[in-house]
Amino acid sequence: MDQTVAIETARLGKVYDGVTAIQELSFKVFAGEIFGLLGPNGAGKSTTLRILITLLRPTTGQATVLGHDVVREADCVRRSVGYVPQERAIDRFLTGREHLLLLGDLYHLSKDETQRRIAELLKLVDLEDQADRPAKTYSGGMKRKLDIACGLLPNPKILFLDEPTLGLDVQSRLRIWDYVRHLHERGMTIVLTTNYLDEADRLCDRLAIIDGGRIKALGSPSELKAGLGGDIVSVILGAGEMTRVEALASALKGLPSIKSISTKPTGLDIRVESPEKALPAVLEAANRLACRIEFIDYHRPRLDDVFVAHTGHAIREEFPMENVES
Amino acid sequence: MTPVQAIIAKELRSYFVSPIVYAVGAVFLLIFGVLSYVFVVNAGNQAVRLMQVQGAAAQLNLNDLVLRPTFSFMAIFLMLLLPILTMRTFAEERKLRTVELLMTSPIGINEIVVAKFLSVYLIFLGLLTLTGIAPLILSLFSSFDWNPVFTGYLALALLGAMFLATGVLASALTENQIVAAFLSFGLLILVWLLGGLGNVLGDTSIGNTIAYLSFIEHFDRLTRGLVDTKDLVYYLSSMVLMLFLAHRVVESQRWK
Repeated sequence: MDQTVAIETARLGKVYDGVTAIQELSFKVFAGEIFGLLGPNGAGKSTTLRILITLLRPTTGQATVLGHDVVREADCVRRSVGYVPQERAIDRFLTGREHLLLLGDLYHLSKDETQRRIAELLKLVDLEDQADRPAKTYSGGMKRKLDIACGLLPNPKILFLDEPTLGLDVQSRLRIWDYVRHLHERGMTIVLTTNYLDEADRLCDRLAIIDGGRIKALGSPSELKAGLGGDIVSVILGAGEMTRVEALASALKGLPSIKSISTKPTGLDIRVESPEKALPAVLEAANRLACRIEFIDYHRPRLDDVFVAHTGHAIREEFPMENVES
Repeated sequence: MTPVQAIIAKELRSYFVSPIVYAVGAVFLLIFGVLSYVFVVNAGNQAVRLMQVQGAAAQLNLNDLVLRPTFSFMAIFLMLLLPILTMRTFAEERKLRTVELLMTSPIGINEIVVAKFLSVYLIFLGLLTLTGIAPLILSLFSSFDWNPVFTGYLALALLGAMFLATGVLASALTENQIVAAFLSFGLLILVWLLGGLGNVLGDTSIGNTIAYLSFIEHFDRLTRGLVDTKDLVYYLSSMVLMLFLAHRVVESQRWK
C-alpha cells in the first residue's frame, strides 16, 4: 500500500453548543487504503467525516485532505472528494439519471464525460434499468446505490462513506462491500464510518475506534486483535446465577493466566494468555462458588473484544460492562 | 450547462412538479384579472356618468383609472404571495438534507443563492408576462399611454425581485417552510410600514430616510411613468443586500 498521506488530522475537536462531539482526534489515512471510523452512535464519527468533507468547521485542531486545509482550501478539498451521506440526499423529484446529470454539471464535467461516467456507474451499481424512474420510487438499497453512484461521479481521489450499509438487508450490504472492494482495487482511498464490527473487520485496512469523541485505538483489524494478546474465554452463567457473577470475577481476578475480566449481562468475558491453563482455573472457581455454568467457549479475540477492551463497553449494548484489569 | 443553469433547471423542475407554483400562479392571475375587471367596470361607470353630465363621450385616463390602481394593489398582494413561492428554496432542501448535494460540490455559495433566486424570479416573470394580456385586451377597445404601462411592469418586476430576494433570505434562516413564509411576510410588511412611519416623522432627515426605505414611494413613481435612477438603485440595492445576507446565512450554516 502507498504510504503517501491522503488525510491528516491534528488534535481535531468540535464543540456544538457547549457539547463536545470530538476532541484531540489525530490520525492519518494513507493513499489507497480503506480507513474505517468505528464507534457507537454519537461517538463522533460523522462529525469527523463532515469536517473532512468541509461541511463542518472544526472548533480546534486542523485537518488536511490531499494536502489542502479543510477550512482555508475547502474548494480544493471539494473538487477531490466524493461523499455518500448517511441519510438520503436524494431529490424526490429527480430520476436517478437526472441526479447524476446534475452532479456532472456541478462538477463542471463535459457532456460526453458525464454521459460516459453515468453509463459506467449505472452499470457498476446495477441501476441501469431503473435509472429513468423517479428516485422517490427506489427501495432503500437502490437509493443507497444511487448515493454511491453520486459519490463516485466526480471520479474522486477520496471517497467518504457515512454508514454505507446502515439499515440495509444482508444482500445489499454484501453488494456494497463488493463495490467498495472494487473501488479499492482501482486505487481509490476510501474513508467510511460504521458501527458494524463485521463491516469494519472485513472491509477496512486500518481503523480508528472512536468512543466519546476520542480515538481509543488505531490500527489494522489484525493488529488490534493481536494487540489484545491471548484468547477470550466466554462464560455464560445459568439462570439465577448472575448474583454470583461478581464473586466469580473476584475469585478469578489476580490468577496468573488471566489478563482481564469483563462482566456481561449473561456472564463473563475473560481475556486469558492460554485457554488451556485458564479453563481449569475458571471451572475450579465456579465449582468452588457453586456457580452453575451453562455454556463456556473460547475464541481468538474478535473486533468486539477489541472494542470492549478499549472502551469498557460493547458497541451496542443495553447494560454497561465492567472491565476489570487483572 | 453551467452549475447555475443546472441548479435553475433542477429548481424549475421541482417547482413544476409540485402544486405550489400552480396554486400561487392561479391566485396571482385570478387577483390580477379580478382587479383589472373591477377597475375597468369602475372606469366604465365613470365614463357613463361623465357622458350624462357632459352629453358627449368622455375622455378617461385609463392609466390612472385602471392600470395604476391594479399595479398598486398587486404590489400588496405580492407581499402575501411571493413568500409562498420562496419558502421552500432553502428550507426544504435543508430539512431533506438534499442541500448537502450542493454544499459538498465545488460550486460557490453565491452560485447556489443566485441560482435559487433566479429560478423563482423566472417563475414570477412568467406569471407577470401572462398578466400582459389585460392591457393588450384593453388596448383593443381604448387608447392609452403605453409608457406608464411598461414602467408599471418594470416596477412590479423590480418589486418582485426585492420580495423574492427577501423570501430567499427568510428561507435560508430556517428549516421550516411555514416559518420561512411568515418571516418573509413580516420583513416585507415591516419595510412597507416604514413609509407610514416616515410620514409620521415628517419632513425631517430621519423621516425622509425612513420613508426612502419603504418601497411604496419608489413603486408609485414608476407606475406613474417616471423612471428615476434613485428608484432603480433602491430596488437593485435592496435585492443585492437580501441576496448577500442569504449568502452569509448559508455560508455560516455550511460550517455549523
